[in-house]
Amino acid sequence: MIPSFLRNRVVSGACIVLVTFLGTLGGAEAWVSTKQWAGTNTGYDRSSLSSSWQSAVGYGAAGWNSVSGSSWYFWVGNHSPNKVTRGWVDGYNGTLAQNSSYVSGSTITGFNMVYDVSENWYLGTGTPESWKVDARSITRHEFGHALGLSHSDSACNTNSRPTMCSGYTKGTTYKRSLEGDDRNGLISLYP
Amino acid sequence: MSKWTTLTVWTTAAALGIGLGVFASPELSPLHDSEVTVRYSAEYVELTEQEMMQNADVIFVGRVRHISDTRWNQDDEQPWKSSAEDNHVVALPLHELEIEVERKLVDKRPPLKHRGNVRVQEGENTVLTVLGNSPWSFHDHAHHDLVPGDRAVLFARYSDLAWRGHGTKPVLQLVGVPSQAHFIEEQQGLFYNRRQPEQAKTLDELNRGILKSRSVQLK
Repeated sequence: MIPSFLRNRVVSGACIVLVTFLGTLGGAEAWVSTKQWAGTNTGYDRSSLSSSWQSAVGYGAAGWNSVSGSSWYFWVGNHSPNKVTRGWVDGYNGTLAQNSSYVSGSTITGFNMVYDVSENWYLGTGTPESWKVDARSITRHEFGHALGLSHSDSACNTNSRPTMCSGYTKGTTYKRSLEGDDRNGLISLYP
Repeated sequence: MSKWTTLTVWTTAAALGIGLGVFASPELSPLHDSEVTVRYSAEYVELTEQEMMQNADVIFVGRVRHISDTRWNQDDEQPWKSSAEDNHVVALPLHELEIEVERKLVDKRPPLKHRGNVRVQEGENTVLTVLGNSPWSFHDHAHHDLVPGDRAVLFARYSDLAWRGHGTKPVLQLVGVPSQAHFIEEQQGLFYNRRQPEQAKTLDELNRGILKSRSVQLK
């Protein structure tokens, strides 16, 4: 038999742990979204791109398709109004890529994604040179925008670098892999 | 305190914890209009503070006088959508910051043909172009932290922005991630940057850092 004073402390201790845990669950989330699609999938047209770019774009989209707990799915459709292209944005060493999502009320109805032709892109699957921009990292980030996530900068520090952090350091590949904050955002939007 | 009292107190606290957790999560903003709007997101090259000091074409102290509404990259500034006919020129929402230039710390001007009408002159106003919706006209994520009246040290570059009908147009933009490319004067003559808000610097310290960074670059 556990003495009552000890039982009270055990109960109190358990509650403290519970409260701390639950508080952390909410407070630690940093993903941001103000808009989302009405459904849980959308297509995109990458047909204007070279095969190596199509591969990098496919990689970026596919990462969001395989998150456990989310029903979200990007699919390739060559007649989709959602275009993924390359074009001039603002020259070398500026904007790497941009996504414009078309929004009606709080619902995303389409997107247009462009990768700047004036940057030094790395299209391989290995590690880019220090002066190059890893296309697979940036495509994964941009498809996060396309499905409705904004930058999650409050989660970005030396210990935590979600894919949806803003800014890309040349030569790195860390944005290829989705982190907990990215996955939580996706699951919350599209369970 | 009885065990039931203890339990009640902590259960209430747990419920509050859940509630606060939920409310601390990012908001899903309410409907604010029924028209189709464009939500713009961009990914930029991230530069260290030293790289920013080295790579900026022009670094100056100035005061924000005006922030425009959202405009688009064509002469009539109206919204448009990219199409095949536009020969890969990308439709971009943007806004302009009119800055009164107080003091130039660095100005590595490109040849005249590459800078068009862009001019950074002490005592005059200059225009910084920032991609993305204006903070006035659309609820969007912050592209920068500047508001009218702010005195700041700004790190900028001369660039060629995609411009419908002309191919490109010379503009002045913040270097790297725009929200990291300015130090805003907050109090007691100290300038803060979003990247290291706890490390405020005086203008002299910033200027010394810039000179040191750029002399290292020259070696």
